[in-house]
Amino acid sequence: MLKRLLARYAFVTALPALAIAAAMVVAPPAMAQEKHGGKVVINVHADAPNFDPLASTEFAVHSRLGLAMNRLVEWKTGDDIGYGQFVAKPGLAESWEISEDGLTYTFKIRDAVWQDIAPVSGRAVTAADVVATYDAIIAGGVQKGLLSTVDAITAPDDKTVVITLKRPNVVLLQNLAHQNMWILPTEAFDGGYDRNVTVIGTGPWILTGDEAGVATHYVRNENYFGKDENGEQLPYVDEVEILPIKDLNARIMAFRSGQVDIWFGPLNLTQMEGLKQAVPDIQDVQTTANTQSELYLNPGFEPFASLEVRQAMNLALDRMGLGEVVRGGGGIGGVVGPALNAQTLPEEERIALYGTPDHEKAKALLAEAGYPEGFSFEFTVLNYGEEFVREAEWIQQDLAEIGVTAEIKMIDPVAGQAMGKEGDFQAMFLMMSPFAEADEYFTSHYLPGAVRNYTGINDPTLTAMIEEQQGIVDVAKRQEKIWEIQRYVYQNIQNPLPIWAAVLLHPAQGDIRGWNPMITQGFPSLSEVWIER
Amino acid sequence: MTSLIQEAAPARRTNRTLAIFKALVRDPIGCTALVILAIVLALAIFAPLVAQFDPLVQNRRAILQPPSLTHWFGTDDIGRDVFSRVLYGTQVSLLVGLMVVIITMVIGGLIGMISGYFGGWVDVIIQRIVEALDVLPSLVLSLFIAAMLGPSVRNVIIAVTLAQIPRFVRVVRSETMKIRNNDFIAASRVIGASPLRIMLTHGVPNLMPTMLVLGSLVFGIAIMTEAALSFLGVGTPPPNPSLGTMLSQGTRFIGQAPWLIVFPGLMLTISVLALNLIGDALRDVLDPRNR
Repeated sequence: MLKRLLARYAFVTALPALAIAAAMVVAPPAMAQEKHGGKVVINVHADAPNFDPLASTEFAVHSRLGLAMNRLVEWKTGDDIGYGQFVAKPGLAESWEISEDGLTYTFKIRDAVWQDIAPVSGRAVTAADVVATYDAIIAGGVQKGLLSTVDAITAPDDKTVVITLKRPNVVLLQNLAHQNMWILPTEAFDGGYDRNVTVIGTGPWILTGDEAGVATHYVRNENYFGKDENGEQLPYVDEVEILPIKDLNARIMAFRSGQVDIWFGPLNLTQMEGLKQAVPDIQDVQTTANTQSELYLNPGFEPFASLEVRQAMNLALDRMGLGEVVRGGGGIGGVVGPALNAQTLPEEERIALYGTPDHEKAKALLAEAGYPEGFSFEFTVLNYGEEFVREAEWIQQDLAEIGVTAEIKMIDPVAGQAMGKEGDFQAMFLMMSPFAEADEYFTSHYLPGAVRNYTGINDPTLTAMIEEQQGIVDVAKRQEKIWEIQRYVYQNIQNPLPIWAAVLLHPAQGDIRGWNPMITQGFPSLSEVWIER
Repeated sequence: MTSLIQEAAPARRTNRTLAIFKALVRDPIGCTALVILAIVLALAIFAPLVAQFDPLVQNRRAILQPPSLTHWFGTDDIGRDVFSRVLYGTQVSLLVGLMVVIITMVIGGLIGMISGYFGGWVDVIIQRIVEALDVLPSLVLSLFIAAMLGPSVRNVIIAVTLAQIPRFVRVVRSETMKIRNNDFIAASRVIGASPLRIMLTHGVPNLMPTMLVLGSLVFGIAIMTEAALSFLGVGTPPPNPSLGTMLSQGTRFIGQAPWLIVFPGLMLTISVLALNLIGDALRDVLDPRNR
């Protein structure tokens, strides 16, 4: 009986299943939420004095240009890519080839158009634009050093650029992706318009207004070439505004009130705690700084001429404790800083070399060097702020544990760097410039006469190794050489002593999605940022 | 006769100082302030005996510990004992204050007396220089000088002294101008006393009450300025404790470890308040209208 009934009204029993199936067809899947639209506000703590990318290296200029312009090669961003890790991504070049000898780079220019602003007025991007930009940079741009190995740049046709080098340069792609290497139209160099005040690029947004002290405003570039991984047109956000809020407390208040969506600039952990209390759904995005503190030991001061003494000082330092207590996060320093996670030595090895203090061994090394009772020295500390000074005080006590007395002398950073260049110090503690490539660490610290070679290092073996890695085209082989150099520096140079790379905080409001801060200026992940509704 | 006068003079001065002190002790506010200052002074002077810990040594197993029986005022962010640091910081503050007062009294007093006694073009030149220094607020001037010289206790003393000298010069000058027209000064001149002798024998004793009042106020100002300079990073260099530096560093942990700013702040407030109250009481005691 029951079976008959079920057979007769079988369609009734199927109704719930049908309803569910219908709902699945009609209702949009949760993942397909419309990402386009809305406005994002960012704070940049300075006004742009002008918009000429060849005139200055100021972050206030280049962070703003990044929204409207592109480079030939861009930095890839994503959850799986570290803050300082360079992964080349096609920019205005959709592809490139490198000759076997590493001396010829051939770039194919993508089909892209300039923004519809006179006199360029939306024409297609050509190889001539790239050549004109690079020629102007070589002739007098602030970033001309990045093209120092270039022998010639030619455009065999409208869509091809060929760069030939004087000698192999494995960091050429990274140099072309450098934060200052924006490509401009030829009109920017033949008097067509004034690049100090007019911004014409190919980027995701068009700069529509800039009022000093008020805001820089952008609207979506409908003709931008960028697409997301699903082929959706980028950027997602219709409008972007950059607010030049110079005062830290005003920036904090602007973020707390929701006026600012994405934080840019310095922020310490204490201030972050305050923000978290005021904005409970804040996104606490943390990365490791692309700078690190370094302790320079001048061999002109007798004890520091001894490698044993420098090794002893390295063994005295409790860097892991310093990082935890003073900085509350970040990464242990290395010859190549930890932000360059693909090039620095693996963390376990850096901890073994620099993060394992051994005071007994350190004292034995001092005794071996002829200083069994220790010694005193003037410890020049550049005043980069309270947390940095705390690092110096931490080091001072570590050294006292092995009988070495460091007399702290505070000094202004500019004066300190001048002293460094003159070699007028015994030991100097400073914050290194931000670097994005291992080669920059090597060439600035260890080559004779280099800008950061404050201790006069002139080691022919090391110089040869540095020059050799510059010519290795094979990525894996070059990686091995980069590690070999770092180990050589640890064994034979021990100067400067790398200390710690601080944690960087990049908070964003809770409804911001797709925000991946990156070492380079210009907010490269911003075109993929969207607002959850 | 002359020898009798010479012997009697120091005795009169001692009696006067004693009388001022007694009057100060009889004044309830003055007496309380004196007691407080004496306690602060004793704590600072005997800091090595009172403090349980070395103010520079970091105990890395006791980071940001709240006040306890072991660490009376807690520990800071790298494990240093805050009580010991407050005591040694007070020592630095009082040293700066004392040195500034002494140097300012001597230099400012001398310049003020010369300006007021001689008058004329000497006065004009000195007063224009003083006015030029007075144009800038004293803290800004101190900040400028300290930033130029670099952070050290010695440089803080120089910076604060230079900023406070104009204050002394002006007051002493006006007092000297009042005194120089008295008959006893004219009499001294007539009997052939040199200007230096007149200033030392008649000027200084008569100016002393005013200078004492001003000195007590400048003492407080010097302590505050030292704290402000250290707060701004151009004062006492690390790792040496200073009340200003402690306050500056403590602000980072104001929610997490309020003891880092409460105790240095209290010590600073108490010291400056005591000095100001003594100054007020001294002024009352020395004011002829109150006698």
